[in-house]
Amino acid sequence: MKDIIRPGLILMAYGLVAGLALGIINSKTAPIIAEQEEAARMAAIEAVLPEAVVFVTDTADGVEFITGYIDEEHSEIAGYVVTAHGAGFSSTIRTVVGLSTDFTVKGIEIVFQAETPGLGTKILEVRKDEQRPWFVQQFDGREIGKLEVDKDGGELVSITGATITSRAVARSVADAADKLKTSLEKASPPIERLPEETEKNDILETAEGGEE
Amino acid sequence: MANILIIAIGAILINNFVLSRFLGLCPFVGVSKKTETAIGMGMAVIFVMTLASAVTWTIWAFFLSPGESNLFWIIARALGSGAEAHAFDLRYLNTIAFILVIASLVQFVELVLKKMSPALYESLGIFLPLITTNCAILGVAELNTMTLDYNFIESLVHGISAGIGFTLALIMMSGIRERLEFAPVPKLMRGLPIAFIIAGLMSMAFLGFSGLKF
Amino acid sequence: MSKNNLFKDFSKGILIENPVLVLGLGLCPALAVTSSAVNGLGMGVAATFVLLMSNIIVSLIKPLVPPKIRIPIFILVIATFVTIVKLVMAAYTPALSEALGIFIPLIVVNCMILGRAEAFASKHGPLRSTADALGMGLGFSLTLVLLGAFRELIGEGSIFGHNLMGSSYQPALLMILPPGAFLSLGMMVALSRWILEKTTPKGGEC
Repeated sequence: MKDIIRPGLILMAYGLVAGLALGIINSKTAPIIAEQEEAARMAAIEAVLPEAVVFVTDTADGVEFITGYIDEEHSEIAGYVVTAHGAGFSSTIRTVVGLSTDFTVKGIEIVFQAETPGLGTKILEVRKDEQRPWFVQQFDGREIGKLEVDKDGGELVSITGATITSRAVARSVADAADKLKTSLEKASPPIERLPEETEKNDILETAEGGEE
Repeated sequence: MANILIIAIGAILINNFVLSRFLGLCPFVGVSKKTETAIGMGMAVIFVMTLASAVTWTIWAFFLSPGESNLFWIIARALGSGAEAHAFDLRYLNTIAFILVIASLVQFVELVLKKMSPALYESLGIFLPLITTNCAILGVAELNTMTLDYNFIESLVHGISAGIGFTLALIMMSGIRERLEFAPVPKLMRGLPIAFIIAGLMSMAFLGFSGLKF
Repeated sequence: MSKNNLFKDFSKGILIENPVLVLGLGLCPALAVTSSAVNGLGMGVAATFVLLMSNIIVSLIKPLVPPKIRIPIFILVIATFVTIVKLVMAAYTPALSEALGIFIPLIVVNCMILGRAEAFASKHGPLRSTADALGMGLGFSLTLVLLGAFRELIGEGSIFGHNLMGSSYQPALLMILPPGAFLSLGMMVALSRWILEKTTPKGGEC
């Protein structure tokens, strides 16, 4: 019995030291990581809904989304932003989707993917002299019903050798937009806005601070 | 149900752990000289991988992830602490927790096999110590939780299929290497280099599976 | 114990006992992340840091480690440093951290690191263990960078993102894909053997 208890205690002591060290390091890095994720998320949201100045987080019928307003008085809605999750080839691809009030896609931005290098990662390939990936650009201005890749009879040109990845993005975007549309229609007239709002200017400041 | 099938076929053929994800290469190269040992190693890996998937997912869901189901939070609340559920985010400890769990699991399996089934222990026992440092096991745990965000059943299926995929590649490799014994391989290419070239050709063949339509 | 000895501990890892090419350790990351030279370098540096720290710690605590549970303790030490690397990389180099993905946490089971802790650091002092770790780490990193550069050059026509082949070059995508990794490493191992064979008889020592 002694043979088990003594080594067990020693191992526990080592574990305690390790856990303590990691706890301290985590408390230093966690805020930086969180800030970075937030900055990246905000950058994506602003990219897909450029006209909006103020962003408000909302839920309608269990679907979480963000409403963008064109000015600080919330006089006019510029559009909505939802996050889509699609099962790709080797990862779950997360896409931020910007929608106008009549539910056409204003723009999408892929925020996480771990697809096959050289194939699936081409969803992020940027052509010469262009700003955004060509695959992503195809979504601009499309109606929800028309988000299908060419292999499924749609108009979106999929990436050669990476149909699963292309399809995952297209389907997840269509699904997320569709869900938001249904739940918003269900919840109308417009529900009470939650008070937690974030102003573009504030966020930009923190984002800059985080990069230093 | 369709989802489960896609995960299984994906892990066995399309995203084969060895040939496409590059996990578990040390045993793939080291234990593939004879088909007999390859089968033994494969069975041991399937067994441990399935168990490890179940156990690490449980730890991830109930101890490391923040939220309502975090046991630490439930205990803290029962003791009257007003801490929020989000405060108990221990996900950063996942690697250390997973590897310790896998190491103890392997030891435990070894003990149980020795007691319950000496015959099975005879055939699988020698492979078990090698499995702790087989990155396919830790890899499947990390993939299930961090990258793919699977639920319990999906994790379990992914674990079993990943093990089958590993075994498939290992047995095929050993079959080729057994025949290769008699082939006139240039001296510089013998052993490791030719094994990699074969693996490359196999990987190329498996690349064809990515055209499978669902 | 001379400087010469220390240098030998350091230099053997680069070619004579190169962890990947000769000992066949740490193969998974060597193949998985080398689709570009940058990724290879990132993985090399991360693994070298973990190897160095764990070698030092193991050589320092070896009197306090009961032989029976030395492996779990080594794994614990390695896992701690891997988690540190993982957190620091996620905080300061998020793009690289995403590109290397699960292969950062998988440094824990990189046989090279546990192998050095068990075979070298648990038998030698901190100074020699440091030299050993730096040499092994350098050998590992060099292999990964060379492999990554080769695959990137053939598969994308560039090295470290700089286009070298001109715009008319049609990249051989296969080299970026998994088969390319296996084929390149196979050829590299053969090449390293050829170099070793050429150099050893003249040098006279192994």
